[in-house]
Formats: sequence, structure tokens, C-alpha cells
Amino acid sequence: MDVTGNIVPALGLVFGLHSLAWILLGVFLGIILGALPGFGSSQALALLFPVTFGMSAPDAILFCCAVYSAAEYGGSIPAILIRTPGTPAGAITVLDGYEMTKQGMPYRALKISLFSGVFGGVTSTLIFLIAGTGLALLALEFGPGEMFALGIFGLSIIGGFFGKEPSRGFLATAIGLLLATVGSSRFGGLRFTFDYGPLMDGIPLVVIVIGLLAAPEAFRLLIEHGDTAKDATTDGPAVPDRMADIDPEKNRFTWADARYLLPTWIRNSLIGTAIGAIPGAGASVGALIAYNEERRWNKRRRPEEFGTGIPEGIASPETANNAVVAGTLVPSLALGIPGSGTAAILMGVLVIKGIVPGPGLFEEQTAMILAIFIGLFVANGFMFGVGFWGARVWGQVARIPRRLLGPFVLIMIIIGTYAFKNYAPHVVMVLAIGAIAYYFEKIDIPPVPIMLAFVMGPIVESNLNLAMTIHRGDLMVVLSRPITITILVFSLVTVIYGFMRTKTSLQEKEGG
Amino acid sequence: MEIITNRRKATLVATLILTVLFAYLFWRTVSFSPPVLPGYPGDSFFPRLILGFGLIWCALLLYTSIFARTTGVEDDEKEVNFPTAPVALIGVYVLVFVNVLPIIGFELCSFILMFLLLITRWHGELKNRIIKVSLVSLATTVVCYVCFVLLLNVSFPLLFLPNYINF
Repeated sequence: MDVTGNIVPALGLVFGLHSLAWILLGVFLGIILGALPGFGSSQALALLFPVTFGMSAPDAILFCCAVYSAAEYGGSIPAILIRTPGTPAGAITVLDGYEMTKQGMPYRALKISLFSGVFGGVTSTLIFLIAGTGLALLALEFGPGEMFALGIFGLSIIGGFFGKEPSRGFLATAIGLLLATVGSSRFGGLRFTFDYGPLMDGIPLVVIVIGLLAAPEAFRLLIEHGDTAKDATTDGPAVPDRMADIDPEKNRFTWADARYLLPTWIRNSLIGTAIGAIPGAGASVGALIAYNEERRWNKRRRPEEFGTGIPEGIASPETANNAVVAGTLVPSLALGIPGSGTAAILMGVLVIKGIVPGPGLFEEQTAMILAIFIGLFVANGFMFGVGFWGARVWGQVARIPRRLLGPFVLIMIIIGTYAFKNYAPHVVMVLAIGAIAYYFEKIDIPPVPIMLAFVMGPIVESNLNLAMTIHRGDLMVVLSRPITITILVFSLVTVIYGFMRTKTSLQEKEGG
Repeated sequence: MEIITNRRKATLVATLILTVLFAYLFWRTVSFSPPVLPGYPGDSFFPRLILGFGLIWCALLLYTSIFARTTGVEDDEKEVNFPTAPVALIGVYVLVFVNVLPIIGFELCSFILMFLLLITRWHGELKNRIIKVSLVSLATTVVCYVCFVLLLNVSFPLLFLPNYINF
């Protein structure tokens, strides 16, 4: 990867007035949507996906990265102020964040969360560039057979670790792969179209993303939060309404605090980046592991002090869940394996703009990769400014009753989907997929593997077809190549481990 | 109206439906285009792999739902409700929206939809509620227009807003 030759074009991509404006808007919207209880980064991105239609490819990906980073930070705001995590990852932040708020230090907690998030984001971005390049260089040596096996490995992790049971996760994966085959094949044959016009071109990714991630949330908000009594935001806010009631001295965050938290930040940045690079893990797992490891490794605190409102209890999950952002991009961009729902949307944005994620991306689109890297830095800088300046405002956003959010989400979904190609059947498809996903979630069939498999389906199929064509249709020759078979054995081990993990947790549950 | 059952029964029904669907789709693959290149496995090869794979997981889920279990008893017996009327109502709203959009324009469509959805969720005295909901619906319509039509150049069927807001 020629970094020196591409650094100027990359800087040009990021520091154009348009790009900076989109990053700033992404940060702003990401924090707001992340702060809304129940809205994770993937829901925020799914809802804002249509906004990228009118943007250039670099602007779109920079905007999405900004939304992703900011939504992870935004999730901590309601967690700290009203004990209602905006994102699943924010659930860990509640433990110490809300305790600190109860002690009259809400803005100190928010500042710790912000500084930690920015540190995690910046550090993992650095690691992303180094690790992503190395991984892409390695993967460039792979042929279609190995890439097919790599895809199967990704699917085995996705199916085995998303949701409560692997059988449900794998069923969801099969549904996603099947949806990806709808429409015309590479050789022009039609599959599963049932002579229905809107299916001839296949199901667009935007329909799948909005239908699986944003639409079920709209159904939930409209159906299950129609009553104020069920509003999570009525859960006794501990933050005082009047600013005069907050002691500014107690709410300061100083350089001494930063120096004190530095080891925590470094430790958890590494944990978050590593967790982010594992497909299926995501920010919530990153935050949980980081918190537990901090309890174990922090010599200045006793484990029982965690959960009483200490700075490390906020810093560790917040550093890790923001470090996950760049970590997730490593397998997504270098190998074409999306590590999370959010990464799949980022990949989708690239695909819609005609850019194919995978090992070649680092060679062919070096300027773009560098722009993402620089853009993440800029996004973290903006996040720092916007987060710091708006700490008080975001607290109010978190208090918007959930019953009022549903109509706004629904109208965004309808208009956003319609905007894709001004085609009403796409809106109907979103509605149908959203309703099915909403029902599926009730029986623990997770929608995220459906989307991830949908994104990976064409990559897996085209590599398999190519490998078989090269080897004259002999599947055994394709599968028995040394690297391919090694990766496939790893996939099998992953599947078995997924089932054993479920069995063990069931036995532990029964054992009390 | 809603269907209330336990998780085990709901899983059983959903898996049965999926099994029948997968089997039907497997049968449909027979009509797919044959291979056109030497070595190319054909259009039906990958879908059949997926469907076979899907049927295995369906069989496993059916088996665990009927004879065994992979989660705790309380999980299997957990009550799950499937609201049908609210989902259908949202469906009707959306279908009406997309069908009348080319006729009455984006402005009226989004205003009416927002108004209908918000009026039942906003609390307070009816007169105040109508005024507030109208203002919020109007603001939402204008924001969507500015964001999608003016900034992102999306072409919606529009009635009157371009005469008042344009740049």
C-alpha cells in the first residue's frame, strides 16, 4: 500500500468543505440518535442510510463512520443521566456512570465518557491502519477457493455467536443467504422472482438494512411504547433540572484525571480493537470484557469498588466500545467479512457506491482507506467538541419520551426507502421484512445475522463459482486445498464451540 | 388483537412454516438455468446448498422444540405476544401513504401520516394537542423536504412546498 503517494489525495477527500460538513453532521446526528434510548449504532446507521444516496463514496463512508463513532458515545449519555442505556454497550456504563450522577457529578461522568471514547477511537484507528493493511496483504495471496472458505468461516462465527442459540443464528444466516440469491444471477438466470417485477433486480441492500434494523424498532416504538407508563425515561432521573444545583467544582475533569486514567485507556483500547476485529462480538461484548478485565487488572482499586461511581468504571467500557468501531472495520474492509450489523451497513454503503470491500481495496483504493483513517480522527475530534459543548443538551435529548419517537422513525423509514429509487414496492418490502423481523425477534431469531449473511452471500457465491470453474467443477479439489481445508476446519470448530457454549450455559443455569 | 402463546410453540410454528417454505423453494430450483460454462455449477447450485443447510437447522430446531431444549425451561415457557392488529394498521398506513403520494403530493402525505400517528400519543387537552401536533407535523414535513429534496436532490411528487422554500 503506497501511503506517501496517497496521503495528499486522502487529505483532500477529508478536508474538503463538503466532507467536513458531512462528518460534523454525522457526529451531531450520531450523538442524538445514540442518546435516544433503544437506539444502537446499527439502528442509527440504518435510519440514516438513505441520507448517503446523494453523497459521493468518500463523503458517504466518512459520514457513516462519524455516525457510528458518535452513536457509541451518545449511548452513554442516557446511561449516565437516566440509567437507560441508549445502546446495548451503554448497559455497562450505567453501573458506575449513574452512581456518579447520583453523587452530583453528572457532567464529570459525561466528560470521562467523552475523553475515554475519543482516546479509544483514536488509538484503535491507528491500529486499524496497521492491522488492516497487514491482513489485506495476507489475504491478497488467497485465491477464490480460500476466499470462499474465509466467507464460510465468517458465516460460522455469525451464526454461532449471534443470539441465544446457534441453531436460531444459523437459521437466520440461511435466510439471509437465501434472500441474497433473489433476482438475476451473474449469468442472467432468474431465481426466486416468481415473475414478480420488483424482485427481478433482487432485493436491494438498503431494503434489507432498513427492514431488518430500523423497521422492527419502529414497530416496537409504535406498538409497545404507545403508553407513557411504559416509558423508560420516566425512570427517576438523578440529574438535577436546574444547572444552578450542580456544583461545577465537583464536575471538573482535569489533566491529573487524564494522567490517572491513561493506563485504563490504553488497556481498554487494545481490548476494544481486538474484540471489534472478531466478527459477531461487537461493542456490547467489548464493553463487558473491558469492564471485567479492568476490575481484574486495576491495582489501585478493589473489585468491589466497581459499581460505586468510580472513574475507571466509566472509562473502561467507554474506551472499549469506541475502540470497537475501528476494530470492526479491519475484517470488513480487509477481508469483506462484516464483524457486526454496523460494519455490514458500512460495507453496503461502499457496495452501493460501486466499491467492493476485500483485500484488493487496500491496493486499489488506498486514498479512500487513508481517508477513512483520517476521517475517523477528524470524527473523534468533532465528537470531542460537539460532545463537550453539548453535554447539557444531550441530556435533554435522552429524556424524549419513547412513545413520541415511533412516528418520526416510521416517516424516516418510508421517505428514506422511497428516496432510494422512487419506487413504492421497496417501501412495501421494507414493511414486510420489518414485520417478519419484529416477530422473529420475539422467538429469538436474530435479524443481524440475516443482514450479515445477505451482505456476504454474493461474495461467497461468486468465489465458490469462480473456484469451481477454475477446477472444472470438481468441488473436492476446491475444498481440499491446504489453506481452504484449514479455514474450513476452523469453521467446523467454531460451529461445535458455539453449540458447546450454549450447552454449558444451559447447564450452569440449571445448576443455579 | 394479538396472538399470545409460549416461546416453544411459537418457535415450532415458525420453524414448520420455514421448513415448508424451504422445501418448496428447493423444488423451485429445478427450473433454474443450467450451467453455461464448463465447470460452472449452475444457478441452482448455491441456492440448493443454502436450502439444504437451512433445512438441517429447521430439523434441529423442530427436534429441540418437540423433544429436547437448548435453553432453560423458563425461556421455553416464556409468554410471547404477536400483535397483529397494530402491525396490520401500520401496514395500512404505509400502503395508503405510498399509493396516494403521487396523487396528493409528499407534503400532505407526510403531514397527515405524522398527524395521525402523533395525535394519539401526545398527551394533554385536545385543543392544545391538535395545535402542537399540527406544528410538529408541519415542522417534520419541512425538515424532510429540506433534507431529502433540497440537500440530497431526491425527486418526490411535490405539490406546493417548492413555491415557498427553495434555494
